[in-house]
Amino acid sequence: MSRLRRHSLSIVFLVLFAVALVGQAWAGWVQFNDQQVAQDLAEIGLGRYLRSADFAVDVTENWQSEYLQFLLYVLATVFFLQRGSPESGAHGGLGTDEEQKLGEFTEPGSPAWAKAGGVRTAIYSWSLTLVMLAIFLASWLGQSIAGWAAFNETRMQQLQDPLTWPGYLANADFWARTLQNWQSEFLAVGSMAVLAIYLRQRGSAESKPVGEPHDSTGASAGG
Amino acid sequence: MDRSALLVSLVLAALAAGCSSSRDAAVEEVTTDFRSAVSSEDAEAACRLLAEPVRYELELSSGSTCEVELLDVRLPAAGDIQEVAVSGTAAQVRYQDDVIFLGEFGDGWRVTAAGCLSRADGPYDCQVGG
Repeated sequence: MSRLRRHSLSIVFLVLFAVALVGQAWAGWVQFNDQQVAQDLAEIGLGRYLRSADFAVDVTENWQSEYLQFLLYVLATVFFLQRGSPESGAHGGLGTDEEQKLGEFTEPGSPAWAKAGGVRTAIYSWSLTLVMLAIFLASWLGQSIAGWAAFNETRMQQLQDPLTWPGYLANADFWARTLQNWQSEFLAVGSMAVLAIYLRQRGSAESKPVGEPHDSTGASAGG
Repeated sequence: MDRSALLVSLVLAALAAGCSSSRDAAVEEVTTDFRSAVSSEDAEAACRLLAEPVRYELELSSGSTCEVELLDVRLPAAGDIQEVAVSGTAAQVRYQDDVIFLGEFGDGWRVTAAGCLSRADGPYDCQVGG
Protein backbone atom coordinates (compact mmCIF):
# COMPACT_ATOMS: atom_id res chain seq x y z
CA MET A 1 0.00 0.00 0.00
CA SER A 2 1.45 3.38 -0.96
CA ARG A 3 2.26 6.08 1.63
CA LEU A 4 -0.38 8.34 0.04
CA ARG A 5 -3.05 5.65 0.36
CA ARG A 6 -2.10 4.90 3.97
CA HIS A 7 -2.66 8.55 4.91
CA SER A 8 -5.48 9.29 2.49
CA LEU A 9 -8.11 9.99 5.18
CA SER A 10 -6.15 12.87 6.74
CA ILE A 11 -4.99 14.14 3.32
CA VAL A 12 -8.56 14.23 1.97
CA PHE A 13 -9.78 16.20 4.97
CA LEU A 14 -6.81 18.59 4.82
CA VAL A 15 -7.59 19.34 1.17
CA LEU A 16 -11.33 19.71 1.90
CA PHE A 17 -10.46 22.10 4.77
CA ALA A 18 -8.24 24.23 2.51
CA VAL A 19 -10.83 24.40 -0.28
CA ALA A 20 -13.64 25.24 2.13
CA LEU A 21 -11.53 27.94 3.87
CA VAL A 22 -10.71 29.56 0.52
CA GLY A 23 -14.40 29.45 -0.40
CA GLN A 24 -15.38 30.94 2.94
CA ALA A 25 -12.79 33.72 2.56
CA TRP A 26 -14.06 34.64 -0.91
CA ALA A 27 -17.77 34.50 0.02
CA GLY A 28 -17.17 36.35 3.30
CA TRP A 29 -15.23 39.08 1.49
CA VAL A 30 -18.04 39.59 -1.06
CA GLN A 31 -20.65 39.62 1.73
CA PHE A 32 -18.61 42.11 3.81
CA ASN A 33 -18.28 44.48 0.86
CA ASP A 34 -21.99 44.16 0.03
CA GLN A 35 -22.75 45.35 3.56
CA GLN A 36 -20.23 48.18 3.30
CA VAL A 37 -21.76 49.41 0.03
CA ALA A 38 -25.28 49.19 1.51
CA GLN A 39 -24.14 51.56 4.28
CA ASP A 40 -22.33 53.98 1.94
CA LEU A 41 -18.96 52.80 3.32
CA ALA A 42 -15.78 51.83 1.49
CA GLU A 43 -15.12 48.34 0.11
CA ILE A 44 -11.89 46.60 1.13
CA GLY A 45 -9.49 44.32 -0.74
CA LEU A 46 -9.29 40.56 -0.19
CA GLY A 47 -5.93 40.84 1.63
CA ARG A 48 -7.37 43.35 4.08
CA TYR A 49 -10.43 41.16 4.60
CA LEU A 50 -8.23 38.16 5.43
CA ARG A 51 -6.67 40.23 8.23
CA SER A 52 -10.03 41.53 9.44
CA ALA A 53 -11.89 40.70 12.64
CA ASP A 54 -14.93 39.84 10.53
CA PHE A 55 -13.11 36.93 8.86
CA ALA A 56 -11.37 35.86 12.07
CA VAL A 57 -14.58 35.61 14.08
CA ASP A 58 -16.34 33.60 11.37
CA VAL A 59 -13.42 31.12 11.30
CA THR A 60 -12.84 30.79 15.04
CA GLU A 61 -16.49 30.49 16.05
CA ASN A 62 -16.72 27.33 13.95
CA TRP A 63 -13.34 25.99 15.06
CA GLN A 64 -14.20 26.24 18.76
CA SER A 65 -17.51 24.44 18.34
CA GLU A 66 -16.00 21.61 16.27
CA TYR A 67 -13.22 21.01 18.80
CA LEU A 68 -15.76 21.20 21.63
CA GLN A 69 -17.87 18.61 19.80
CA PHE A 70 -15.06 16.07 19.58
CA LEU A 71 -13.78 16.94 23.06
CA LEU A 72 -17.18 16.23 24.60
CA TYR A 73 -17.63 13.10 22.52
CA VAL A 74 -14.28 11.74 23.66
CA LEU A 75 -15.10 12.56 27.31
CA ALA A 76 -18.80 11.65 27.26
CA THR A 77 -18.12 8.17 25.93
CA VAL A 78 -15.96 7.53 29.02
CA PHE A 79 -18.77 8.25 31.45
CA PHE A 80 -22.04 7.73 29.54
CA LEU A 81 -23.42 4.69 27.74
CA GLN A 82 -25.68 4.23 24.74
CA ARG A 83 -26.84 0.66 24.38
CA GLY A 84 -26.39 -0.59 20.85
CA SER A 85 -24.09 2.24 19.74
CA PRO A 86 -20.65 1.43 18.31
CA GLU A 87 -19.49 4.79 19.72
CA SER A 88 -20.27 3.78 23.30
CA GLY A 89 -18.13 1.68 25.62
CA ALA A 90 -19.85 -1.50 26.79
CA HIS A 91 -19.38 -0.75 30.49
CA GLY A 92 -18.16 2.84 30.73
CA GLY A 93 -15.38 4.12 32.99
CA LEU A 94 -11.64 4.56 32.51
CA GLY A 95 -10.92 0.84 32.06
CA THR A 96 -8.41 -1.42 33.79
CA ASP A 97 -4.63 -1.33 33.16
CA GLU A 98 -5.03 -4.58 31.24
CA GLU A 99 -7.71 -3.09 28.96
CA GLN A 100 -5.64 0.07 28.52
CA LYS A 101 -2.34 -1.81 28.03
CA LEU A 102 -0.63 0.01 30.91
CA GLY A 103 1.81 -1.02 33.66
CA GLU A 104 2.76 -4.69 33.30
CA PHE A 105 0.47 -4.94 30.26
CA THR A 106 2.39 -2.54 28.01
CA GLU A 107 3.62 -3.93 24.70
CA PRO A 108 6.97 -3.44 22.93
CA GLY A 109 5.31 -1.00 20.56
CA SER A 110 3.46 0.97 23.27
CA PRO A 111 4.15 4.75 23.27
CA ALA A 112 7.10 5.78 25.47
CA TRP A 113 4.94 7.87 27.83
CA ALA A 114 2.53 4.92 28.24
CA LYS A 115 5.47 2.79 29.41
CA ALA A 116 7.04 5.54 31.56
CA GLY A 117 4.56 5.38 34.43
CA GLY A 118 3.89 8.12 36.99
CA VAL A 119 2.96 11.66 35.92
CA ARG A 120 3.94 11.14 32.28
CA THR A 121 1.59 8.19 31.83
CA ALA A 122 -1.16 10.06 33.72
CA ILE A 123 -0.78 13.03 31.36
CA TYR A 124 -0.56 10.81 28.29
CA SER A 125 -3.71 8.97 29.39
CA TRP A 126 -5.61 12.26 29.03
CA SER A 127 -3.54 13.81 26.23
CA LEU A 128 -6.25 13.67 23.56
CA THR A 129 -8.72 15.44 25.82
CA LEU A 130 -6.13 17.98 27.03
CA VAL A 131 -5.04 18.97 23.53
CA MET A 132 -8.62 19.17 22.23
CA LEU A 133 -9.52 21.27 25.31
CA ALA A 134 -6.57 23.61 24.70
CA ILE A 135 -7.51 24.10 21.03
CA PHE A 136 -11.16 24.64 21.97
CA LEU A 137 -10.30 27.26 24.61
CA ALA A 138 -7.83 29.04 22.32
CA SER A 139 -10.38 29.14 19.50
CA TRP A 140 -13.13 30.36 21.83
CA LEU A 141 -10.85 33.09 23.20
CA GLY A 142 -9.97 34.01 19.60
CA GLN A 143 -13.67 34.16 18.74
CA SER A 144 -14.34 36.46 21.71
CA ILE A 145 -11.55 38.88 20.72
CA ALA A 146 -12.27 38.89 16.98
CA GLY A 147 -16.03 39.03 17.62
CA TRP A 148 -15.50 41.96 19.98
CA ALA A 149 -13.56 43.90 17.30
CA ALA A 150 -16.03 43.04 14.52
CA PHE A 151 -19.01 43.93 16.71
CA ASN A 152 -17.45 47.26 17.69
CA GLU A 153 -16.80 48.08 14.03
CA THR A 154 -20.50 47.55 13.29
CA ARG A 155 -21.56 49.52 16.37
CA MET A 156 -19.45 52.54 15.43
CA GLN A 157 -20.70 52.38 11.84
CA GLN A 158 -24.19 52.57 13.35
CA LEU A 159 -23.18 55.55 15.56
CA GLN A 160 -23.12 53.61 18.83
CA ASP A 161 -20.45 53.39 21.55
CA PRO A 162 -18.00 50.47 21.31
CA LEU A 163 -18.10 47.86 24.10
CA THR A 164 -15.33 46.70 26.43
CA TRP A 165 -14.23 43.04 26.10
CA PRO A 166 -16.10 41.96 29.28
CA GLY A 167 -19.08 43.93 27.98
CA TYR A 168 -18.92 41.95 24.73
CA LEU A 169 -18.75 38.64 26.66
CA ALA A 170 -22.06 39.57 28.27
CA ASN A 171 -23.56 40.67 24.94
CA ALA A 172 -26.10 38.59 23.01
CA ASP A 173 -23.91 38.67 19.86
CA PHE A 174 -21.18 36.58 21.56
CA TRP A 175 -23.65 34.01 22.89
CA ALA A 176 -25.72 33.88 19.70
CA ARG A 177 -22.56 33.09 17.70
CA THR A 178 -21.47 30.52 20.29
CA LEU A 179 -24.74 28.73 20.95
CA GLN A 180 -25.90 28.56 17.33
CA ASN A 181 -22.81 26.42 16.69
CA TRP A 182 -23.03 24.38 19.88
CA GLN A 183 -26.64 23.32 19.38
CA SER A 184 -25.92 21.92 15.91
CA GLU A 185 -22.84 20.04 17.14
CA PHE A 186 -24.72 18.49 20.07
CA LEU A 187 -27.56 17.45 17.76
CA ALA A 188 -25.16 15.88 15.24
CA VAL A 189 -23.28 13.91 17.91
CA GLY A 190 -26.44 12.76 19.70
CA SER A 191 -28.17 11.70 16.50
CA MET A 192 -25.02 9.87 15.33
CA ALA A 193 -24.93 7.90 18.60
CA VAL A 194 -28.57 6.86 18.13
CA LEU A 195 -28.66 6.34 14.34
CA ALA A 196 -25.59 4.11 14.53
CA ILE A 197 -27.59 1.68 16.68
CA TYR A 198 -29.95 0.84 13.82
CA LEU A 199 -28.23 1.94 10.63
CA ARG A 200 -24.99 0.72 9.03
CA GLN A 201 -22.31 1.87 6.61
CA ARG A 202 -20.51 -1.11 5.25
CA GLY A 203 -16.75 -0.70 5.61
CA SER A 204 -16.82 2.34 7.93
CA ALA A 205 -15.03 2.27 11.29
CA GLU A 206 -17.81 4.53 12.58
CA SER A 207 -20.41 1.80 11.97
CA LYS A 208 -21.05 -1.65 13.33
CA PRO A 209 -20.66 -4.47 10.80
CA VAL A 210 -23.80 -4.68 8.66
CA GLY A 211 -24.87 -7.96 10.22
CA GLU A 212 -24.16 -6.96 13.84
CA PRO A 213 -27.27 -7.08 16.08
CA HIS A 214 -28.84 -3.74 17.08
CA ASP A 215 -28.27 -4.37 20.81
CA SER A 216 -24.54 -5.03 20.37
CA THR A 217 -22.74 -2.20 22.15
CA GLY A 218 -19.16 -0.90 22.17
CA ALA A 219 -16.14 -0.26 20.03
CA SER A 220 -15.48 -3.99 19.74
CA ALA A 221 -18.71 -4.15 17.73
CA GLY A 222 -17.16 -1.76 15.18
CA GLY A 223 -16.35 -3.03 11.71
CA MET B 1 -15.65 43.28 37.12
CA ASP B 2 -13.51 40.75 38.99
CA ARG B 3 -9.70 40.85 38.99
CA SER B 4 -9.14 38.22 36.30
CA ALA B 5 -11.59 39.88 33.91
CA LEU B 6 -9.91 43.22 34.57
CA LEU B 7 -6.46 41.70 33.94
CA VAL B 8 -7.58 40.11 30.66
CA SER B 9 -9.15 43.41 29.60
CA LEU B 10 -5.96 45.30 30.36
CA VAL B 11 -3.83 42.78 28.42
CA LEU B 12 -6.23 42.89 25.45
CA ALA B 13 -6.38 46.67 25.61
CA ALA B 14 -2.57 46.83 25.65
CA LEU B 15 -2.34 44.49 22.65
CA ALA B 16 -5.03 46.43 20.82
CA ALA B 17 -3.26 49.68 21.64
CA GLY B 18 0.04 48.38 20.31
CA CYS B 19 -1.51 47.15 17.07
CA SER B 20 -3.62 50.20 16.37
CA SER B 21 -1.51 53.11 17.60
CA SER B 22 -0.70 54.26 14.04
CA ARG B 23 -4.34 53.96 13.05
CA ASP B 24 -5.33 55.91 16.18
CA ALA B 25 -2.87 58.64 15.18
CA ALA B 26 -4.32 58.87 11.67
CA VAL B 27 -7.85 59.11 13.07
CA GLU B 28 -6.75 61.77 15.58
CA GLU B 29 -5.05 63.79 12.83
CA VAL B 30 -8.13 63.88 10.58
CA THR B 31 -10.41 64.72 13.50
CA THR B 32 -8.13 67.49 14.72
CA ASP B 33 -7.88 68.94 11.20
CA PHE B 34 -11.66 68.80 10.86
CA ARG B 35 -12.16 70.45 14.23
CA SER B 36 -9.61 73.19 13.38
CA ALA B 37 -11.27 73.84 10.02
CA VAL B 38 -14.67 74.19 11.71
CA SER B 39 -13.16 76.43 14.39
CA SER B 40 -11.53 78.73 11.84
CA GLU B 41 -14.66 78.62 9.64
CA ASP B 42 -12.62 77.10 6.80
CA ALA B 43 -15.68 75.26 5.46
CA GLU B 44 -13.91 74.15 2.28
CA ALA B 45 -11.27 72.25 4.29
CA ALA B 46 -13.88 70.83 6.65
CA CYS B 47 -16.03 69.62 3.75
CA ARG B 48 -12.98 67.87 2.20
CA LEU B 49 -12.70 65.80 5.38
CA LEU B 50 -16.32 64.66 5.29
CA ALA B 51 -17.05 61.24 3.75
CA GLU B 52 -18.39 61.66 0.21
CA PRO B 53 -21.86 60.19 0.97
CA VAL B 54 -22.20 62.52 4.00
CA ARG B 55 -21.25 65.56 1.91
CA TYR B 56 -23.73 64.50 -0.79
CA GLU B 57 -26.53 63.98 1.74
CA LEU B 58 -25.81 67.36 3.35
CA GLU B 59 -26.11 69.15 0.02
CA LEU B 60 -29.17 67.16 -1.05
CA SER B 61 -31.12 67.79 2.15
CA SER B 62 -30.26 71.50 2.34
CA GLY B 63 -30.37 72.34 -1.35
CA SER B 64 -27.21 74.33 -0.70
CA THR B 65 -23.46 73.70 -0.89
CA CYS B 66 -21.62 71.70 1.76
CA GLU B 67 -19.59 74.79 2.70
CA VAL B 68 -22.64 76.99 3.33
CA GLU B 69 -24.57 74.30 5.17
CA LEU B 70 -21.64 73.31 7.38
CA LEU B 71 -21.19 76.89 8.59
CA ASP B 72 -24.94 77.14 9.28
CA VAL B 73 -24.91 73.98 11.42
CA ARG B 74 -22.38 75.50 13.83
CA LEU B 75 -20.67 72.28 14.93
CA PRO B 76 -18.87 72.18 18.30
CA ALA B 77 -15.19 73.04 17.81
CA ALA B 78 -13.80 73.36 21.34
CA GLY B 79 -12.21 70.88 23.70
CA ASP B 80 -9.48 68.25 23.64
CA ILE B 81 -9.76 64.64 22.56
CA GLN B 82 -10.77 62.45 25.51
CA GLU B 83 -10.71 59.02 23.88
CA VAL B 84 -10.15 57.38 20.49
CA ALA B 85 -11.62 53.99 19.53
CA VAL B 86 -10.71 52.31 16.23
CA SER B 87 -12.01 48.96 15.02
CA GLY B 88 -11.60 47.82 11.43
CA THR B 89 -12.91 50.54 9.11
CA ALA B 90 -14.76 52.48 11.81
CA ALA B 91 -13.64 54.90 14.51
CA GLN B 92 -15.05 57.10 17.25
CA VAL B 93 -13.39 60.17 18.75
CA ARG B 94 -14.79 61.42 22.02
CA TYR B 95 -14.57 65.06 23.14
CA GLN B 96 -15.85 66.39 26.43
CA ASP B 97 -19.18 67.55 25.03
CA ASP B 98 -19.65 65.64 21.77
CA VAL B 99 -18.47 62.76 19.63
CA ILE B 100 -17.24 62.38 16.04
CA PHE B 101 -17.51 59.13 14.03
CA LEU B 102 -15.20 58.28 11.12
CA GLY B 103 -14.92 55.64 8.43
CA GLU B 104 -11.88 54.48 6.47
CA PHE B 105 -12.15 55.14 2.73
CA GLY B 106 -9.79 54.78 -0.22
CA ASP B 107 -8.36 58.25 0.46
CA GLY B 108 -8.01 57.75 4.21
CA TRP B 109 -10.16 58.37 7.27
CA ARG B 110 -13.16 60.63 6.70
CA VAL B 111 -15.84 62.02 9.05
CA THR B 112 -19.11 60.09 8.77
CA ALA B 113 -20.92 61.94 11.59
CA ALA B 114 -20.09 65.02 13.66
CA GLY B 115 -21.60 66.98 16.53
CA CYS B 116 -23.02 63.76 17.98
CA LEU B 117 -24.75 63.67 21.36
CA SER B 118 -25.56 60.52 23.30
CA ARG B 119 -29.14 59.37 23.68
CA ALA B 120 -30.44 57.13 26.46
CA ASP B 121 -31.30 54.37 23.97
CA GLY B 122 -30.20 53.87 20.40
CA PRO B 123 -27.50 55.55 18.33
CA TYR B 124 -26.04 59.02 18.81
CA ASP B 125 -28.00 62.03 17.60
CA CYS B 126 -25.71 63.88 15.15
CA GLN B 127 -25.84 67.36 13.62
CA VAL B 128 -24.07 66.16 10.48
CA GLY B 129 -24.24 62.63 9.06
CA GLY B 130 -25.85 59.58 10.60
